Amino acid sequence: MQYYDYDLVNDEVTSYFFKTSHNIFYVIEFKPTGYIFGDEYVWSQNCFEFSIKLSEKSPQNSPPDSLISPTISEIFQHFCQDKEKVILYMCDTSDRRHLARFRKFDRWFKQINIRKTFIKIDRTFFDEKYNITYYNSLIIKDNNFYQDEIIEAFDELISGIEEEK
Amino acid sequence: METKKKMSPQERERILNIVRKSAERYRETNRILDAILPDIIDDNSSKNTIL
Repeated sequence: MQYYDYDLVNDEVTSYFFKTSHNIFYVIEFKPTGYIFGDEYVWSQNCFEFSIKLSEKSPQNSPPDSLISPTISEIFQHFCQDKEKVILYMCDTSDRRHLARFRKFDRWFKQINIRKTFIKIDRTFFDEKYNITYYNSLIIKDNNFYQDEIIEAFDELISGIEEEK
Repeated sequence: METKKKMSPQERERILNIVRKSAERYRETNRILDAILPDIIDDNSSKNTIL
């Protein structure tokens, strides 16, 4: 599969950079987010929030470009070569199109997971204060040693938020 | 048998605030995915139901 070359900066936040043929610069970031589960879990240091950004000087709208999606997939696979990585993803709810986004992300994930090496756990919860349903996904490798404990902790986190209603 | 810990109201609010801020941060990521993955959302979108 063809994709753009990319650079990697491995700091507190792991950042991947690539430039498209239209001179648009993308940044793919994996930001540590283990604090959401707490220090009690040894694997929490391997939890990361996955995000995609455009660099400040890039045009905000990209022409159709079939290489962007496979490049992001390649970067995702590269970052997750370490089987202990735990990736968290959430759909933006600000414009109420989050269900469509969730479906889209699900289909994109199925494309990158063609070898079935990842497991994606989807959970939702309702925020009464803002009248919003949040769509959350947790992605782990199917050979993650802590797989059961991670899924249980994710379930406990979501159910803990829900139970006070 | 181990019993499940009940989340305190303070802990619940802490997590909720993290999630709300996280949802804001995901706005750009989602917008970019909206733009670069139109082939996926148009492909059989009516046939799939999540959750």
